[in-house]
Amino acid sequence: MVNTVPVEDVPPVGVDAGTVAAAVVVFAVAYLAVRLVTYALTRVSEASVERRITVKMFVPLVKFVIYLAALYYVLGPVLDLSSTQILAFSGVLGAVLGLGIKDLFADIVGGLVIVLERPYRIGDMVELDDHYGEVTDIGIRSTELTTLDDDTVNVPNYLFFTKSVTNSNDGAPEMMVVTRFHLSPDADLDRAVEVVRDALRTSRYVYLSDDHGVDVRVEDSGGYVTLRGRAYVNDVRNEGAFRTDVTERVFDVFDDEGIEVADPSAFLRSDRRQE
Amino acid sequence: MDSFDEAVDSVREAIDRGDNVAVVSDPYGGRDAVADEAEEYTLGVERISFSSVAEADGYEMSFGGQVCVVEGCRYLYTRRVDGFAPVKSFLQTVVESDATFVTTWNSYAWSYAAQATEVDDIFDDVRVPSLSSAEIAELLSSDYDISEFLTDYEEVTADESPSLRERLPFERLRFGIEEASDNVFEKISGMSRGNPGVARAVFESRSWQTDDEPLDLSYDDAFALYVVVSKERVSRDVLRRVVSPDSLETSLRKLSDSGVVGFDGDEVVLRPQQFADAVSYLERRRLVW
Repeated sequence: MVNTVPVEDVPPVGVDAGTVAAAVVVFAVAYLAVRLVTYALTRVSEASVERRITVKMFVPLVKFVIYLAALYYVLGPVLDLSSTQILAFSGVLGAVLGLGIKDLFADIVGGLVIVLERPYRIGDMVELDDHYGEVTDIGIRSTELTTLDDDTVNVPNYLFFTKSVTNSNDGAPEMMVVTRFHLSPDADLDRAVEVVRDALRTSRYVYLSDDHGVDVRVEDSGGYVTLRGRAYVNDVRNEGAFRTDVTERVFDVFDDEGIEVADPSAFLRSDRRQE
Repeated sequence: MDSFDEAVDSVREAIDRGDNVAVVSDPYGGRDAVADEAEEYTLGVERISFSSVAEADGYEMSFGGQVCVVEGCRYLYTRRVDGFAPVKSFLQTVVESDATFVTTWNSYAWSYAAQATEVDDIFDDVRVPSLSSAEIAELLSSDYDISEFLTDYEEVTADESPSLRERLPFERLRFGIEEASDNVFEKISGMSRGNPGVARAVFESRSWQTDDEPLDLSYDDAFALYVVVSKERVSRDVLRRVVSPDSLETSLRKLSDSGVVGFDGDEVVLRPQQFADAVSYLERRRLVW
């Protein structure tokens, strides 16, 4: 048997116009504080590529802490509830979640998990829900990506629970970039590999260390040969520029030396077969 | 200067063992002085100096000595496709030779070449360390009249034991604290990152007394600066081959206006007074590692 509480028995919650006005002011202050801290952290982070992502990692954390503190400050005194009020409030909350804001609730929880578990951070290059780009903001409700074509995509935070996330740099300033070249089977492969290797390791965007080398792999793709040049870019934001720099210089030498690239129809046919 | 003597001793020991060695320092950092010591250490030393990329490219190496000192190895490569041909050829000569090679390298050129080529497999590197503020003070007192800074000199050289900041694990932090100090020699030490050649230039120009605008460069400008820092002196022709030719003149003008480079005919030269600022900037842009 379920005990129900008649509505007239629930004491009113002490919310009046003054309380609402105070809550608005508190949230406005919290919003301004978030903007200010975000601006300051962004300024600090941009001073050094090395520490950029580490510093920006604190942006969503600070954001959540400030908003949660504001929420607690507003709701704490108002919801100093009796057991009867808690029971009534739970019923209302359940109904509201069921009626449509469950996605919002899932997004907020998703945002908290992203901040605490850090599958990605602001500044990381990720693939989320078929969108690839740099994480530029992790908000309460969604994550903002800027794609390589400079489009801004907002992905709801709850997708983190249901979709896989590919993180290309995982908090590091550098990232591996793979550049592909399709060659005719008759091309001078030794020379082509040398050219691609030189173009990678001499690029103005390359990052080299004991753990970050350059290599070129040769693959028989059936009807043509693919060279996969792999090297690390010094700053994830230079990914496109790095690929362009390497590609341009490789093709300049291929043209000069008559190194034959694959007939485009050959790899288009192959792509279609793979699809 | 114990640290300098230790570098010289390391090179002498390498010569005794017959090991090839790379003497590595920042620009103006004292590697030529170490090479001089190596040359005087034993008889039958030959000395080869490369002063440009053009000179190093296609150089036919012929020598008959037991020890060969090769200066200016930073010119043995350029950052372009096929730009490593001279260094490959040089390494082949070294491997096939019975002689012991003492080579000198700009530290930024070495860091890059060691990752991009096999130079670090052939040569053991000996780093010429940076000097402490007391060592800088002693160096300047031997070369210049420092009578107006006598109090600062006595203060900085008074304590023989290393100060807390000299024992700090991160050089950058140490030099940052020194730069903020009121003592002239500590300021110079911080501004020069303990580099003797840069310290002399800073002292001569009294540039610790002026506040420079922080560098604000595009990526192309910064890369052009990186090439100048790693070569120290480089022709426009070489720069044109490795930096965007369209933006080169604009980049050079901006670098010149910022005071980090100067011109000597067709060559672009790194100015020692601004060396520390230039390197700090390149570190922040992750163009030097």
